[in-house]
Amino acid sequence: MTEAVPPEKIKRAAHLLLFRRGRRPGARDYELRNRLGPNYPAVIERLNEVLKDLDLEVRGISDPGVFGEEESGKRYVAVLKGTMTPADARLSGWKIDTLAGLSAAIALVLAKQGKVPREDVEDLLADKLGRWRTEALVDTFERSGYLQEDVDGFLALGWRAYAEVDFKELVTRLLAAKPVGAAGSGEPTEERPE
Amino acid sequence: MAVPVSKARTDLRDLLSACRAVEERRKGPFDLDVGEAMAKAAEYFPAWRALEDLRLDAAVLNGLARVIQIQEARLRYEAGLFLADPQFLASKLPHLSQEALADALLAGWHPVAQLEQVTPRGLEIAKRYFDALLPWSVRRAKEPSGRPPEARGMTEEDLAALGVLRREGFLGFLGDLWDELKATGSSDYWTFVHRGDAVQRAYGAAFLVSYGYAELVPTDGRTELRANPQRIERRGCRSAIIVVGGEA
Repeated sequence: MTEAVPPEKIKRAAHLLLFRRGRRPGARDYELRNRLGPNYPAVIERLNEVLKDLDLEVRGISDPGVFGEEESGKRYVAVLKGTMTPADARLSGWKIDTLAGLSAAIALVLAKQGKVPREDVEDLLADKLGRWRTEALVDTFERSGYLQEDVDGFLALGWRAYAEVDFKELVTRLLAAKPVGAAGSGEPTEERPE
Repeated sequence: MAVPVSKARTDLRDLLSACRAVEERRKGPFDLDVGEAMAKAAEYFPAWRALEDLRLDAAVLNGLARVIQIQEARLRYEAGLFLADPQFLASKLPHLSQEALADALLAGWHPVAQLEQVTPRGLEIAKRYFDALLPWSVRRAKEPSGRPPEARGMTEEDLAALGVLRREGFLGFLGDLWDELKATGSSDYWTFVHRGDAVQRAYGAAFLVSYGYAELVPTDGRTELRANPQRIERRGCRSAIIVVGGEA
């Protein structure tokens, strides 16, 4: 039986999770506990039922090291429940080559056990996107939280990759994709050909 | 041990660099046969006498231990990576088209939903800022920087215009000053300068020192001015600042 949750709490939880208040989206578990009470998991569950119709869901991320040592515990964020079509992604401002670069970078980090020299990522992307664009892209991925670089110049996955990307799906799709050989390494294109 | 010691040392150094290559992800953890490496280290060990060799042996054992750690992590990771071969995945990536890569990401991408919000406090701060903001026409006008004018050199004409010295008598004035200093041999700088117009005499003394007619010698917290009997050719460059009058 679902625990009864006052609508006021659901509203408050939605405000906490959907409106960006700090540098990172979402709210930490202790914030939710303070604002919603000790039964906040029940509130999140109810909120998820409300968000279901909007194709959104609240997800807790607790991977160690994702948010840095200062942030222990879980962070809850609202994410898109389904996936985007290429057309939707383009409407949201994502170019096809940016998505391809992000996909390749995340996959390479996964294939190298979560840590890879920045040069390796840049070499992989530069082959497809050009050197000048690659450097800017890797910086963008870092700034937006998909990748993080340590002092030794190794790239690892950032909090956003853990929050947003289904690694299993990504790896499965990449392994199933058909290589195109030389056909895919032509001049970089900004947009998907119509 | 059948292998010469020098060859054994080289082997151990190679092993150490191989261990480092694994640690730095330049080499796969299973490219190094740890069992064979350990057997080699055990075979060479009885021959080591020097401390350096023993340290090298210890470093190799340490390196191999780390390789085993990485191998274990790799096995765990592979088991968690949905039975996919990471090497195969890495080698496949360069051969995939942009579309295939993007589609794979989109299939498993659930972007965070977030909205920028305007809070009452944010609005209050913004209003205060807006009220205090000067009109653009005022802000665009260039304001005085508040910095002093840039330093520049002064010519003799400038000094003459300020009444610090008379151009026609400058060399004569310097000569008189040098003669006066030679007569005393050495003198406390401040005593010497304050015998007349302090600024003018300090300016002359600076010339005498710069051109090698006199020396400025710090002694016991004082500054002494010593005349040179002959002009000395200065080599290199040093500068000292002495504030005359005003506030230091």
